[in-house]
Amino acid sequence: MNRKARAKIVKNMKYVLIIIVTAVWLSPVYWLVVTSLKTRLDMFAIPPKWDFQPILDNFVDVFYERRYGLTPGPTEFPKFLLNSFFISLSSIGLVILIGTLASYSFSRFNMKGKDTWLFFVLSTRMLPPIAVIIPIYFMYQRLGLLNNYVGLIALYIMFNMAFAVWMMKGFFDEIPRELDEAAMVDGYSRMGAFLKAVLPQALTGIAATAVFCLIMAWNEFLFAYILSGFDTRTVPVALARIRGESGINWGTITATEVLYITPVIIFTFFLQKYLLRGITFGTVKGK
Amino acid sequence: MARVRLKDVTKRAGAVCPVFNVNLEVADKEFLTLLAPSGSGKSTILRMIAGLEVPDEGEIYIGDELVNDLTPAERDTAMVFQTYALYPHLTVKDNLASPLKARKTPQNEIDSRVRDVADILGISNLLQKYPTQLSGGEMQRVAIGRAIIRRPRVYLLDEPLTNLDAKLRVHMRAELKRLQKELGQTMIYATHDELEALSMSDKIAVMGNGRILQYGTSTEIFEHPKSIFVATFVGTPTINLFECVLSEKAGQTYLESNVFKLNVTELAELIRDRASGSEFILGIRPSDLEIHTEKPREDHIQGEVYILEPMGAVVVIDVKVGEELVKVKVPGSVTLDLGTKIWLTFDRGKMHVFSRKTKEIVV
Repeated sequence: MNRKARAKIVKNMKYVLIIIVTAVWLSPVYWLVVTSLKTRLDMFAIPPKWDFQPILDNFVDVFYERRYGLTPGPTEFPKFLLNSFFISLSSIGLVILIGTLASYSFSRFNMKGKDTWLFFVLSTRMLPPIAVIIPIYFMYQRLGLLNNYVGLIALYIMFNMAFAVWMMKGFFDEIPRELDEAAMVDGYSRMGAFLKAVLPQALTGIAATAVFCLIMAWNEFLFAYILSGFDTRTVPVALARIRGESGINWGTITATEVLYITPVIIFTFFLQKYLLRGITFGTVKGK
Repeated sequence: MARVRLKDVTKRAGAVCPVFNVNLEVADKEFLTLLAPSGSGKSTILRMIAGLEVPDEGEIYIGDELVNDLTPAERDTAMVFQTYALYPHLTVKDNLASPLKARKTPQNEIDSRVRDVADILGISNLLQKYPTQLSGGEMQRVAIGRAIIRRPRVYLLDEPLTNLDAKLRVHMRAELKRLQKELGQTMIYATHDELEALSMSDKIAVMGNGRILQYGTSTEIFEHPKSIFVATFVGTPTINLFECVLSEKAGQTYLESNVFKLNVTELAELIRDRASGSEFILGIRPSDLEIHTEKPREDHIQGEVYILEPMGAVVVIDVKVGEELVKVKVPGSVTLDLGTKIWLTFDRGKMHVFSRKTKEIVV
């Protein structure tokens, strides 16, 4: 066998491997989507039914209450979805705004105790949420922040800030200082130089950071579960509270889950080229 | 447009190379080169003039104005960076326009000045391109264009030719000098390349370890180096140095080493006057040495041909003198067999005698 043929086989084997890994990773998503389209009977069929008549009843159930014995009418799901959007988006908006300025400053200025400050920022992420949830609960109770948008948003900002500052500082470090300096000699102020010369370079990195922060905020369960109430309930908490009158209502649960993961998938899909760049930033310098 | 004056400027701290007690005056319309090896603080000086660094001590004047407390924007300078620092997200046209936009120039004036500058630098065909699509030479032109699009009080150029290939560098050297004469403006140029410095400047300030060691015209620096550092830094091939001692015999004074003995009686008084001790270093440039294939009558250095380095118009001959190699630069027509015995002589006016203790010039 010559080298060329061998190289081809190796290449093909790589593809086979990639397909297997992808299939393993995607199988839960497949199961989720398929189950949400099945009747209860099809869901529990053994052996699993590959060929079935898809129905949308489960999705209707998510939005409209029509179970026997309960008052028919629209469910609260749209409200929870809106809560999730509102809390995630406003928290990442603020994280990006504050984090961009903070990380640019960390990258460019020599301040006293810079390393200590950076470590302090990072240290906010060192305790596992479960360890701090009880004191935070009491603090929030005293401050009237339970079942309050401000409470959850503030917590998510704090939670994402460490990640955002550290990640974006890396991006700003990669952008040559000469660019700021050239802009300042050109006649811009420090802020002008930041906006005109540096920020456009950092946009991809900022977008990548935003995606990661959004995913973290969108998926967060524990804090939301303990600290939110009915008015501020987010989708993951609502999901955990779905129950049926006769066993677990898998249809509604899977349909809700599909609706829950869709926005993140869409968001990630549109920003994937930034994401990849964000992850590989600094390791691959090629332009 | 303006002269630039630095008075006792010191910058110690910071990530950059420190400078100490720099006093410097650049006359209006003058081309001054800061010539120094990397890490000697020439960039620091440019950056302090531009306002990107704040001096720890001392005063900086542009024109007659003390600029220490002014921001870079207020100082009205233009700078060309070694890395060019073009804005990657802007086209060449917008890069050129940036200093005008920052200063709120009307759009029609911006357009016409961009056109003018592009014409001068021959980059009119590149205006719609992005910096990443340009070659090194083109990027450098754009960087210069961004500086000359305004008429600032002073131009600062930080090793602008370093990243170009050799041929382009020589070409741009002449271009830049011409440009400076045409613009008729003060220009301060930092480089570690002595050829750039010698060929372009009105005045040169040679720096070492954050201090200005010598200031003068190209000729002064080349022909009358004040110290061994300056003598060895400027000139290719490097100046030949011989350790020697001053001795006296029968009323005559000699500079003596283990390979030669030179009668320096007529300089003896001067040397004794200016330096203590008897240990000296004799410096003589390769181009100031003459070769003889027969033993000359005058004082000489004897050696044999070690290797020839032909360089086209000239040949550099490495002559083995005792245990050391001495470089001699002669016209390219000279041919000699390796191992040939030769004698070297030189004009006493061309030799440089340094004190071994202070490394400073004596005669």
